[in-house]
Amino acid sequence: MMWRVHSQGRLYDAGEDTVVYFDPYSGDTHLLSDFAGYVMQQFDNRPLSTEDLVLRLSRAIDSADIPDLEEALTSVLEELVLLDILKQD
Amino acid sequence: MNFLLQQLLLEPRRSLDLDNDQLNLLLSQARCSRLMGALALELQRIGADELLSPKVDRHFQSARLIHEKQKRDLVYDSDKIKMALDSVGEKLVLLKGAAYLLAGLPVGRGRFISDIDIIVPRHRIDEVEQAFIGFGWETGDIDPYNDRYYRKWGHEIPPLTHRKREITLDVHHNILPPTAGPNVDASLLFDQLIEIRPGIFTLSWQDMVIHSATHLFHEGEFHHGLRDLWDLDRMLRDFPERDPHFWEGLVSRAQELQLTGSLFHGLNYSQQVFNTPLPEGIVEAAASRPQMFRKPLMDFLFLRAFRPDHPQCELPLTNLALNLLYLRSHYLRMPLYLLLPHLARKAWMRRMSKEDGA
Amino acid sequence: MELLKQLAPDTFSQRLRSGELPLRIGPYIYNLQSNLAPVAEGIGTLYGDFEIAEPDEFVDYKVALVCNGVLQRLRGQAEFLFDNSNPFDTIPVDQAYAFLEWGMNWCVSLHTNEFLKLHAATVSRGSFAVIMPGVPGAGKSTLCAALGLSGWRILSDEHAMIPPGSTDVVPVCRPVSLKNESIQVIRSFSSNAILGPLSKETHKGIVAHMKADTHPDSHDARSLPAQAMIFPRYSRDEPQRLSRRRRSDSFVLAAYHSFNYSLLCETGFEAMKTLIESVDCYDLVYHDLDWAVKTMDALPGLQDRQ
Repeated sequence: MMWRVHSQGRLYDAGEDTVVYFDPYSGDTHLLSDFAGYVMQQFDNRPLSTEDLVLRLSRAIDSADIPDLEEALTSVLEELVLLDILKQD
Repeated sequence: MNFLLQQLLLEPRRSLDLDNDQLNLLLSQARCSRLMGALALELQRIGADELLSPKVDRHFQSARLIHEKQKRDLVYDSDKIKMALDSVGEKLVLLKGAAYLLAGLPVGRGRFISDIDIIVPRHRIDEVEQAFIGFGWETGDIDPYNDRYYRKWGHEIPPLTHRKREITLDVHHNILPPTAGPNVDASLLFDQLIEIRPGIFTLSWQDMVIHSATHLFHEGEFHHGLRDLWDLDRMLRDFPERDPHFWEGLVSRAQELQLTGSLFHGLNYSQQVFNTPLPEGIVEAAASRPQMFRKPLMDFLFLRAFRPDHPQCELPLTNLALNLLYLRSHYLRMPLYLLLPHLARKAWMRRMSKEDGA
Repeated sequence: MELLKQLAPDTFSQRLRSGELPLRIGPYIYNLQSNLAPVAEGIGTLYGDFEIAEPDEFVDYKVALVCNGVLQRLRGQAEFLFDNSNPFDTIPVDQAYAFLEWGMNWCVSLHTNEFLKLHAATVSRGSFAVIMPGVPGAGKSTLCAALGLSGWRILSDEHAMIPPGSTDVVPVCRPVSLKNESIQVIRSFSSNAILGPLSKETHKGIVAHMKADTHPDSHDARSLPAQAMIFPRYSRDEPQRLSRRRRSDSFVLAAYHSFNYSLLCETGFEAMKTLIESVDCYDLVYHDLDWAVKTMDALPGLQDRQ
């Protein structure tokens, strides 16, 4: 499964458990969880597969924090699609 | 004061010679006529934005930002509208302002839009409406009388608004209501569409001009008369360069659509107000004999309507002319037996809602 | 430089009637016109210390509140005109003053975009400026008025105007709008409050405006750096508190309270980011104005910038 951004957004990360994300495609500003924000930072205007993302995230995230990374990731990706930030190929 | 907004639109450089009183007047006129965006972009195009005082230009800059934002929102919203139409296998065909903007045409430069207009074939309209409702659009509060009126006599369904986006979508099935007199065969419009983005279409160049002229002379929105005429002027200067056969087929296309009357007025007034260059004889070719006969009276009425909607621009009898045009446009849209109850009802409802609101 | 209060009473009313009264209000010039007594009274009371602009200056907003013709006079109705056209319905004459103020807000809310505009009161003490965004009814205006009566300078009751890329607030000091009980609350808070005419039975209830430019620096046009963003909330049922809030959701809430954040797109996002990074963000829940003012006086960092 490939995921891509409609348009590369901007992120404000104040080091809290939520981040602010501006999506230029819809013009909307979202308050995202820091995890979703971290997922968004992985996209740099290029498509990524779920496997790519799991690999990248597992390097950075302690498995004690998120036991089932793939499941958490999938539900975040689906939410990001609902918000029109990501689309599925 | 011896200048008018239309002269500044044609010669934006002259704005640099205006004193503050004249600039104040210019801004008022541009705002009232909804031409602030167009003027702002004309000024920027010739670099006058940097020569004007920043205190003045900030107002034009603000109009440019609004226009820019509308253009961006339109990209997103038309994608969403397309998704809804895709679900029932219909094409997205944009009309008027939305078409000008998304196609990136000169007529869209600085054009403000207040809603998105689209057209679908009449026999698909119910399915299309249901599809939009499924995609988060809803019919606003509309009283049963207006709803019935729209559906029975209109050329569009009641406006839809999007729950999240706060925009209005007008879904048309024709460019004129069935009661208008000319019986436009809307299926002809779908034969000559132009694809402006993948899966997104506009009417052909000729049909866009004819539609714009029709809208101008049938809708009764004369308070935006100058803006609509500016649209026509921009198109009539631009389209012949896109299509070398543009002029040849224009009148015959209008005949096919039974809209030569509107085209005649559009060409005539665009030329009179904005000096639009037209091929020789085309105005006469579009005119019927009675129209040439009535021309002096119509010129009297319309040339008043096309001044900016601003008291200092009013010629004597402007209000009378606007009222006559309002009646005229209703008369053009409906047979007389319908006209009287509708106007009476409209006036009554307007008074009620104002009193309720106060 | 001529102030409005320096005009002879006859000259004032004549110029107001004929629409030759251009006032310098923050970064803008408003030209005012009215033939209504409550409007003249209100402007005389609340705008006396404002500077009259030169007759040949560029006017940003031409506004009028007038009663035209026999019919309107008989019905006691008036209309608000912006650039000679009427964007609203007719108004009962006894609400005219409130409508003039709303109309003047509307001009800025709708027509300027050179600033990031937040719907917020802004106040300052020394060079310490505080932005207080708030929904109607949150008590921002009441708090703003009380601060103005306690040695703070009111920069604006309605618009926090931030030049993008800066952390500054541009003053647009106009009267503070008080509604219903707040009017009595402020009268009891201080006998120094100068109030304009009461507008009754508006869609917001009873409205009165308080003269806001009573600080010695009120008409200083220079902008001030924002140091704090405070979200005030009037509540009788909760303990009073000043508590820190997260920057990320303060960002989103302030954006929600902005007139043009969304319109400015990336510029809006970056402007808000620059601003939020430089201010401390707080919730202020209060019901006692004296407590709220004391708490504001003791804001961390304020003493250093007095």
